Parts: sequence; C-alpha cells; structure tokens
Amino acid sequence: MGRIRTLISVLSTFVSLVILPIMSVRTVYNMGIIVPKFDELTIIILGCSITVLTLIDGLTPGKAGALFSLIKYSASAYYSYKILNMFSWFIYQSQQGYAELYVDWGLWLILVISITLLSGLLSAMSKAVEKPKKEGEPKKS
Amino acid sequence: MSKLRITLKIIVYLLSITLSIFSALIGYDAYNLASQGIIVGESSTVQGTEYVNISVPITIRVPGYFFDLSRINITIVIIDEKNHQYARDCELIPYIPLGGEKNITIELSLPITVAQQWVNGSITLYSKFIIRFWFSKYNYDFLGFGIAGRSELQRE
Repeated sequence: MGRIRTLISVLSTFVSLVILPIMSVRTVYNMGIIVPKFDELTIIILGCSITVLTLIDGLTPGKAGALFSLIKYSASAYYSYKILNMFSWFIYQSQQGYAELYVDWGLWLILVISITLLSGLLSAMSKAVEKPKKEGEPKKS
Repeated sequence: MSKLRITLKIIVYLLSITLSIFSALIGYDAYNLASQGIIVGESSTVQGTEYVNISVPITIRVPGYFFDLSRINITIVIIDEKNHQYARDCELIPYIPLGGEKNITIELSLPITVAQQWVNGSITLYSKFIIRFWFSKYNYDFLGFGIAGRSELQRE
C-alpha cells in the first residue's frame, strides 16, 4: 500500500512539476504569448530532482526518511522560487497590437516559500516520530 | 507519538490547502479585474493653438472576491515607431477597497505639428497604456501586476 502511494506521489510530482509547466508554456506560445524568462532545462532538472527525492522519501522510513523529506521540501521551495520568477514576464504580440504583463510575486513568493519550508519541517518531524513497523514474529533464542 | 504524527500531518495538509485556496482567489480576482475591472471610455479632443488636448476617462473597479487594489498607477503615452514620446500623463490611485470603483481622467497634450503630420499620414502614432497595481489585503501588498499594451492610433 505504501509503495503504491509512493508511486502515485512520484507520478503526480513529475506531471505537476515537469510536464504541466512545459505544456502550459507551449500552449500559450501557440496562442501568441511568449514567456521570455522561461527556462525549460532548469524546470526539467529541478522537477526530475524533486521527483527522485519524492521516490527516496517514500521508500525510506524513520529518521533517514525524515531527512529526505526535509531535503525534498527545501528543493520544492527553491523550485517555487525559480518558477515564479520565470513566470513574471509575458509578451503578447499580434497584428492588432502589443501587450506585456509583469508579475511581481512580492509577499506571495515569501508566503509560498515559508509555507513550503514549514510543511517540510512538520512532515519530517511526523516521519521522525513514526513507529517502525514490526517485521513478522520476533526470533526465539 | 501517533497523535503527534497525525496532528503534524493535518497541519501540513491544512497549509497546502491554504496555499491552494489563496492561489484560486488570486486567479479568480485577476480574471475578474481583467474582464470587467478596467474600463477605458470614449476619448474627447480639444484643439488649441499649440497643442491638441486629449482626455481619456478611465474607470477602475474592484469586482473580485477577496483582494483590494492598492498603489494603482495608470499611464498613457503617445509614441512613434522609434519609441519617441510626444505626450504622457499618469494618475496614481493609492487604494480602492473590494467592491469599490474610482474614475480618473488622463489628459494628454499632443503638439499640433505632430498631430498634423499624423493626419497627413507622414508619421504613425501609437498609444501605450500602462497600468501597475498590487493585490492587497489588511494593508499588506501581496502580488504586483504591470500591464502594458500598445496599439496604433486610428485616423477617422
């Protein structure tokens, strides 16, 4: 059951952190909107790294798992910082006119990073206090 | 120990739900503002001896669900193909609460010689509309937006 949950978690992480951002930028590009700061390679590297960390976090129990959980959430916070800065400038150009959209993520960015790091800390703590599962009957000497 | 673990997990879920709700609110309010929040009225022109004065009435509404608007800066510039500025005016609105609206008028003075060249077709003029604002709540500015659009001035 734990492994199935980990597998679902890994797949949803990969889709939401790698596939969805790249597909959405390509979709808006086809509509004439350019995202000049978007760097596909950074998204792939960071997204795949977090996916691997999600897998290790799901398969590692106890305090080692708690450490991986903390690393995963820290990487997610960095990913949020990078991707929000990439999605801060949009250009739309057509024959009728030209438009630009700037987004200053300001306090929202700080809030997202803080909540992600806090979630990571709490998640790691909850994993650290997890009781180890008993594996079969204890050996009789 | 188990209770502590469950409590920590519940807090993590609540935090992620809070982030998702805030993201949805930002999206909803941004969509409402973009679709019905900024209304540019019919401009009027008065010809003087040296300048053509153009007045552009603008209404800003805050039709969203959660956020107020603050530090709203609206600028209109008249430029040519080489980005040379001929007229510029801007208005600053410090704050509009949720559900409120504010009317402003942008006054542009275009030199008459430039206006004549434009009427003759010797130059092409563009109007550049720039608006910057912040989504705010409880005196905190959460998220800033800047929108700039350029379109060619059409001769009648």
